[in-house]
Amino acid sequence: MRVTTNMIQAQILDSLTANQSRLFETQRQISTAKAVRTSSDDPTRYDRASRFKSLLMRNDQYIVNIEDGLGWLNTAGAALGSMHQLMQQINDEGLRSRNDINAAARAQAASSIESLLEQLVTLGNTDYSGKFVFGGTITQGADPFSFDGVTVSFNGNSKDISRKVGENTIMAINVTGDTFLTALAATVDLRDALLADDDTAIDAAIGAIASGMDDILTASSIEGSASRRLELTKDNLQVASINLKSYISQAEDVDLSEAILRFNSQELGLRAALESSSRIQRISILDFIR
Amino acid sequence: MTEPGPSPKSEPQKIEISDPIVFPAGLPGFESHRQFTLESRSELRPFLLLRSLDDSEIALPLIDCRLLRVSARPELTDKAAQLLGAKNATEVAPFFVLNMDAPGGSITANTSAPILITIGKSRGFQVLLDNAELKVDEPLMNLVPSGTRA
Repeated sequence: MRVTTNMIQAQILDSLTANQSRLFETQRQISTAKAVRTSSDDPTRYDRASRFKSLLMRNDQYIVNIEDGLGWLNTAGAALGSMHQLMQQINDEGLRSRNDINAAARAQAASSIESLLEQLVTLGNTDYSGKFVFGGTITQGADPFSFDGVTVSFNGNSKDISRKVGENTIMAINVTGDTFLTALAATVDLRDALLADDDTAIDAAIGAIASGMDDILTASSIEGSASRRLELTKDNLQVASINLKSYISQAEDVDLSEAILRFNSQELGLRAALESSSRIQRISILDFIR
Repeated sequence: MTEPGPSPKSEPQKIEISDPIVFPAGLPGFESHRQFTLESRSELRPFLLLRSLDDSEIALPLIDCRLLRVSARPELTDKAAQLLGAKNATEVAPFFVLNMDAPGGSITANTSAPILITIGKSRGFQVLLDNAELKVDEPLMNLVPSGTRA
């Protein structure tokens, strides 16, 4: 009888399917055959397993809280980064205009700066999941920052928004807008000084702009360090969760050794079939024309 | 002439236990547990159990990474080296923590956070590796060297 490649492949496929079926059955038994189903089976063991399961659930909740916190902080961080770039443009525009004694040119620069200021205000009103990130605990309703053409107002507060990220650990996840309000106020001052064609006021405003940029950098630094702390806490919680799952997985299994033996044995068969398949599939007509 | 001892096959429950291993920083999830032993049971090989001496019911299944198709010896940070009392990575043996009941019913290994144990000094530390390619739930089957399977 002629044995074709198709026949070999079909045979391998049958072998793989059979091996996989046995493997899945063992895996199903491993995952369902628990020694401790109820407290009456083994009260002490049940209590311990329950305690660690509760711990695991708490860890998972802390991780969710951290991810939410990171969402807030990352959104704030991106906005602060854009704000700093805008402030750099405003600073450059101010320095250029300081050296330009043409009042009309300064008025034009003032207009550009006002446009950049509006972008700053928009960034100050950035939200995450529909909540303002810079408004303190006032996260909804009126915008945290408003500009009426004359002054910039901050309508939020300086209170922290916190998340519980550990049994005894609560961390702030926000940066409040009042920490960089000076930057926006200085921008208004620069616009006004340029419109007034007032060299002294322009110098003062440029100095205030530099200070405002520092405030934004400080806010970014607070955001960055809070993000790193959250990431670190999240990493530790994830390792803890994996360890807890590992403990629970072996504590509840009805007969770990038998399951492992069967698993190993069937995995061996599956791997052998796969490798055999891999070797045979590599054979082509080219192997015969050497 | 002494009689030869019983063959290993006649001792299916043979258990070997290491000296106490101190985890100065504890283990994440079991922070209050500082002392463990490595337990090797003939019927569980090649798996090991890292058993707490503070509560003998607490045990984590591990596998020696050196049996697997991975390189799990990380560069030691100053903190890790200090906790482990090791000068460099060659002095430590890396182990993966296993989940015997991972979703889908498979056995998985946390390759992103191996447990390092200093050879000869019995000190341990679980280190989180900064490598996005490492998984907390790598199917163990993927790590088995193919040469040992053929």
